[in-house]
Amino acid sequence: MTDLDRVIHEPARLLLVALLAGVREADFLWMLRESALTKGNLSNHLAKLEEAGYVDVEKSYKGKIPLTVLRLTRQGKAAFERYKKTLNGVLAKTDNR
Amino acid sequence: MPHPDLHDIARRPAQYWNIDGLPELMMGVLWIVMGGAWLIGQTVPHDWRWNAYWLIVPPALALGSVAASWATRRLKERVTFPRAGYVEWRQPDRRTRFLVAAAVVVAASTLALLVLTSHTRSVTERAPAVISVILSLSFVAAGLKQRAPHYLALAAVAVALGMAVGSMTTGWDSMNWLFVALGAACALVGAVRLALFLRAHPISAVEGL
Repeated sequence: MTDLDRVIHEPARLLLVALLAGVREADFLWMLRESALTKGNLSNHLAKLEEAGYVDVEKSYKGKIPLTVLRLTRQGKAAFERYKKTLNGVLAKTDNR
Repeated sequence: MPHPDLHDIARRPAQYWNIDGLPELMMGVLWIVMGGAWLIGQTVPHDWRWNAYWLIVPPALALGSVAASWATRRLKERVTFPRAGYVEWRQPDRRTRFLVAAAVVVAASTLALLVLTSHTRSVTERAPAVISVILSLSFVAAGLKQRAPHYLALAAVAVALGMAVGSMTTGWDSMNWLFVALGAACALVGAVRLALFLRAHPISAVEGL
């Protein structure tokens, strides 16, 4: 269990990373809707993922409306793949017992 | 928060593609135009107008498929993304593209075999049923992949229409009627889903980090 990436292992952040892994990029509104987190909660988790270098956050405007586009970085994709592999390994060990 | 189901999350982007009914609406309109253009083509007098019609219409219809895809994307930018969020989908991977191409080749080969080994009359009688089964299977595949029950309903409609239109024995026209009728059903489903989506998703004021 100690091999599991603690940044991703937190359920809300795992959800965000898994959502971003399925798309090329998405905006804050889509993530908010799909994750069912509150705006503040989502911002906090995204900030942690950005700090870890897993998510790229691009802020701009579309007309007068702020637009925040999010995408998983190469590092984030690798970390997610590693996490899934490690988790599957842990689950396989548990099944064999 | 419970641990998320990664398989379920992996399906969400595909499900989001048909959240608004726009793909069904555009596909339905395209099929109505295709079937309608072929039906109109049968009534054109066999002179220079016939030649001109069949010179222009098939390439225009082929371009229409590309235009429908482009228009769906533009409509999503105006209608869907401001209400439910913006997503840029991933291109399908090499394996998925290969499987889709293989399915198209198998379907086309089956049709070609049917045409080559049957008498003209039996081909025109069987074609609507065969086409409707192929379309129905496509709807079932999409319905299961995207967890969209309305696609399963459209699959049943496709088979029912194929049998009904095929029994009319109007020759090749029955194929065109099949596309017009199925297009109307798709467009209707798409329009209803779009209306429900617009009602459930007012333009959001939420943005920013």
